[in-house]
Formats: sequence, structure tokens, C-alpha cells
Amino acid sequence: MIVQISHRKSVKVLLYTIFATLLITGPILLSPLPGGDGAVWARDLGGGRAAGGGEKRARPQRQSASKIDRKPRASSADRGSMRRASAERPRTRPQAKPKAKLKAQQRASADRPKAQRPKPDRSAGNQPFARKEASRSPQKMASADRQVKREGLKSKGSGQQQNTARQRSTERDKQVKEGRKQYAENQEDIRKERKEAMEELQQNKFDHRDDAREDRQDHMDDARKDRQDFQEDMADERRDLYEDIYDDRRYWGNDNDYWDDDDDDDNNGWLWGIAGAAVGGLAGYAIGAAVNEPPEGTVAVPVGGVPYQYYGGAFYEPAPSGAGYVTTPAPVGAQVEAPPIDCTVVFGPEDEGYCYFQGAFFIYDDSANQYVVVEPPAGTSVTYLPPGYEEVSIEGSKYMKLGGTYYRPYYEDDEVVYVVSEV
Amino acid sequence: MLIAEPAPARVVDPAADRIMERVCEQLKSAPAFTVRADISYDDVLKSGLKVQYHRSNEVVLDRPNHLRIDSESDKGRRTLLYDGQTVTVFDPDLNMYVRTPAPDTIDATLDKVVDYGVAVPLEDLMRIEPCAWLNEEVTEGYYGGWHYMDGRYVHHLLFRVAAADFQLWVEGGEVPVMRKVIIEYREREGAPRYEALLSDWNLRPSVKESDFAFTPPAGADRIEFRAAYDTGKGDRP
Repeated sequence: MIVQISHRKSVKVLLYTIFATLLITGPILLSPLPGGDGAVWARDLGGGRAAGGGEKRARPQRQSASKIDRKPRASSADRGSMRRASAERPRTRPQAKPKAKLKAQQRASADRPKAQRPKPDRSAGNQPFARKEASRSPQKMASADRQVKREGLKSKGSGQQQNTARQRSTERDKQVKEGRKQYAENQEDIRKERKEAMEELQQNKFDHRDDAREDRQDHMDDARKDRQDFQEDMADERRDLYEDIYDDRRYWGNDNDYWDDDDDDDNNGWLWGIAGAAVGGLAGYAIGAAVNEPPEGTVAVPVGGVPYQYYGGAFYEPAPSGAGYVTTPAPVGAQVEAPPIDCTVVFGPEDEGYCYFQGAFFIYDDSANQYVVVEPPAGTSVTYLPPGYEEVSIEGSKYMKLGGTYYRPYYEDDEVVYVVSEV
Repeated sequence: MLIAEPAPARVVDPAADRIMERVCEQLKSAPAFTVRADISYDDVLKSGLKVQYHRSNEVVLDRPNHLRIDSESDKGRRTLLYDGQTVTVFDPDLNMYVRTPAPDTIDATLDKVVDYGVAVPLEDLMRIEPCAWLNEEVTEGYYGGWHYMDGRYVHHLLFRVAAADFQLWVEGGEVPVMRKVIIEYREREGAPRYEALLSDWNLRPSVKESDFAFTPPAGADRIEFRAAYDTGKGDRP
């Protein structure tokens, strides 16, 4: 009897065990074998994220999460062909230098008397910091060229204020302006020269020792004096540099660190870049969003009588209700000192560079040393559109309408782009 | 004074030539093949910093005129389909596709889509003469012997062309296949590299016509290659 019970028990246990085993291994045993009849590579075309199922399909803003893949690059190996390895890759669009030099121009801000700070006398031939003058003719020619383009743009009705300002300017003002412009143009050179000078300074310490031995006392004095001047200057330059960096950070409210990514959740889609941005204007703002007040550090940018506030790419205007502000599309004609730091560099039909951000095109105006918001230039392609566009069909072709501008999707350089169209 | 440089002589280790000829002969004689290509490539920023990106591809080729490439990269997913008459590039994420009449050979179709900016992984593999570059472009070639790679020892080959250097890893045996290719564009700023890891070679796959056919999903929008229709103003073709 006892034996019988225990036997029944063990049968029960066995059955339970078999049942449990089947429960666990069943799904594995019954699943289709990998690489079976339908090969692994044959993916379902409609499937995955794009699956529509008859519902309104979403068009995700793809810009992945990359903060750098739209930056201008010096070279690339993005295509691989051994046959064509020595042939220049045909370019659908230019990759040339943009006119959007964020830092250099920004640093030459108008209210900086330091720009005209007198320097110790140094002859241009020997000194690493010498401002470039007449020898910069190619750049001058280039800037004259841009000037022509700017004039063309202005005639379309963008910077009237600037015109009146220019009429008022005296000869002296012009000189100051010229000086600032020169300063701005030289900023990059100066940075480079600073580094070279630093290296040279190290070198000099040794060179001078040898020189002095050979060239006696007067040279020693000169060298010492030179060195002293030089070091004082280095200190000045460094101070400038730190101040500039500080200004920049304050202005942008971020560290401009492309790799730092601690605030990513707000950073989805089109906005890759402002690390730690906590301000509405930066972390994915929606046009029309209301705020009590714009973030600290905004700049007043009046356009056509509207007192816009600008911060890091976002424009705010006083809310119609009278209380607070609302974010607004970039007003054409607005002039700002610096464009959005995370703009994409795009090129117009004449290869002129624009800084594109959220449907707005900024172009650098040499004469005013400012970035100006212009009408979207026809023929320019952008890789994303901000939310809020409308899809329309014209003569069987799809267009995206954003504000008053029609963008036509095309396939270019291995992705879908949106081209500003004259419809 | 300018002295005209004589055309560079071709100096290639016969062992390197022999191995490559076997690999390419194998590839050419396969009526169809599938392979997975994991690509990584450098961009050189203005600052000189190098950034490496990745792109995955599944290639299905059926001679004489069928090709399919499914790929995924930072630019999203893509499917290229060529059925002998039309070539389609489909972006499933945006649900947009380009479709255009195609030449009747894989080579001519590759020329066309590459010119339109479509990224094709190591296009040489898919051409009728996969080793054309070996005779037409190479100026130097070396056989480096057997080197360890991924659990086995494989042939290591070095080649040089006018503006780039190649490294190839070839698995020997009855069916020699390429395992890895590096193209270093040494004349470009920062000498960026293009690397292809080739795996899952199948020189006898079962393919069917429907693998290369495209039926637009519901609501898909047809667009055009910009290079084919661009009028400079972005307006209608």
C-alpha cells in the first residue's frame, strides 16, 4: 500500500516534470529554423518601423542621434570601390567651406574695445601675431564677392535697418568697422599663431641661449626685452582667449562639447547637439509654445517693429495676450550675432553656404558681421524639416509645405532630402 | 623643368595575383551569391579628428541581372532592388522610394545608381569582372603570408593603386573567399579608411524572382533621384 502510494506519487512527479519541460522547450522546438526556406536576408519590405497598416504614417525625423555627421568634413571614405579608388568621387553637392564660422565672428563682437587694444610695436615680418594686411587679397576678393551676394539678398527686402545705419555711418565708423572685420577674419589665424608662438617661445628659450653666446651683450638685451614683451603679450592673449571662451559659454549656455551626451532624451531627432540644454529654445521647442519669459541670456532682435528675443536658434515674440512670450519661426530679416550652434551647413544653388536650423536659413553678412535670416533659397536641399509641415500633392508629386515654403523630397547622396522649390 | 613621368611599372608578387585570380574566378562563375558586408568608414573632420561610422549590408546577386541590397546605417534603412528592368531604392522608415528604368546588366545599373549617390558596398564584388582593378589599377602587390583572423589563418595581401592602398584577407581552401578588405585613401586628407568585413558567403543560394520585386507599401510616396531631375531650383522635373 505504502509502496503503491509512493509509486503513484513518483508517476505524478514524472508527469509534472515532462509537462514543465515541454512548457519551456516547446517554443524553441517549434520555432522555424534560422536560414530555412526564406533566407535570412529576405526581409519584409513593408515591415518594421514603417509598417503603416492603413493608419496615418509617421515620418520620423531621422537625424539619428549624431551630433557630428552633418558637420563639414575634410575628407571621407564613405564609399568603397577598388576600381574607382583613385578617381575623385563625383559630388552631387559641394563640401566646401561654409560661411558659417561660428566662433570667430562671434568673438569679434561690436562692444569689445579689446579688439582695438594697442599692441606693443612689432614689425610684421618677424612677429607671429602680426595682423595680416594687404597680403590677404584673395580673402578680400572673396569677401567682396560675398558682399555682392548680400546686396542681392538685401534687395529682396531683408535688412532695411542696416541700410539706414550704414547711411548714418561716418568715415570714422567705416574705419572701425573695417578694423573689426579684419579682426574677425584674422581670429582663426591668430589662434593658430598663438599656438605657434607658444611653441616658438619654448624654442626661443634654447635658441636665445645659443644666440647670446655668439652675439654678445646688445643682442642679449634685445632678446631679453623681446622675450619679456612676448611673454606679457602671451599673457594678454591667453586672458583674451579665456574671456572669449567664457563669453561663448555664457552665450550658448553649453560647453560646446559634441561628445557630451547626458541630456539625450530631450535631444531627439533634429536637435543633436546642445549638451545639457535646459532652455525651451534649445531642447526641442515647438513653434507657438508659450513661456513666461525667454531664457536668461537672450538678445533683443527687433525685426519690422516686433521686439523678438533670440537665444541659441530660437526666436521669441511677445505673446498676443500681452503676457509672456511665444516661440516663433525665425523672422526673415532678423540679424543675430551668432547662428544656432547646431545648424547644418547647406549650400545654395550658387554654392553659397547657409546655416540651416529648424526651417530657417542664416547667412553670414560680412559688412555687418552678423548672421541674417533669409528666405529659403530655391534649390537648396536640407536633410530634415521641423515638425509642423503639411504634405501636399501637386501634379502627382509630393511636397512638404512649411510656412510659405514648398520643399520637394528627392533622393540625393544616399538619403531623402527636401529641396526648397519654386512651385 | 618638367620631366614626364613614365607610367609606373606593375610590380606584383605572383602569389598575390594567383590568389586573387582564384577568388575572382570563383565569384564570377557563381550564378548567384549572397554575402553580408559590414562596412565601417572614416570621416575626417575639419579639426583632423577621425570619426568612424558603420553600415550593414545583405547582398543577394543573381546573374545576369538581379540584385538586392538591404542596408542599415545612420541614414536609416534602405533596400535596393534591381530586377533586370527597373531599379528601386526604398526607404522604409520614410516610406518613400525612387524607381527608375534600369539598364539590362548589373554593371551598368551599378554605374547608374552609384552616380546617383547610392552607397553600394564594395561594388567590385558584384561586377562581371570583380578583379578588374587588379590588372587596371594596381601598381604594387605583395603577398604577406598567413595571418590569424577570426579563429583561422588566412592569406593576407597588400596592393597599391595611384591614390589608395588595399589590404585583403582571403580564406583559402576549396572555395577561396574574401573575408575582409581595407581601402585606405592615402591621398585624401587624414587618409580615411573604408573597411568591409565579409561574412555568410553563400555561392549556391536559392533565390526567387520575388526577392527582387518591389510592391510599394500602402501610402508610399514615389520620389526621384535629384541628380537625374535637378533643374537647379528644385522645381518639377
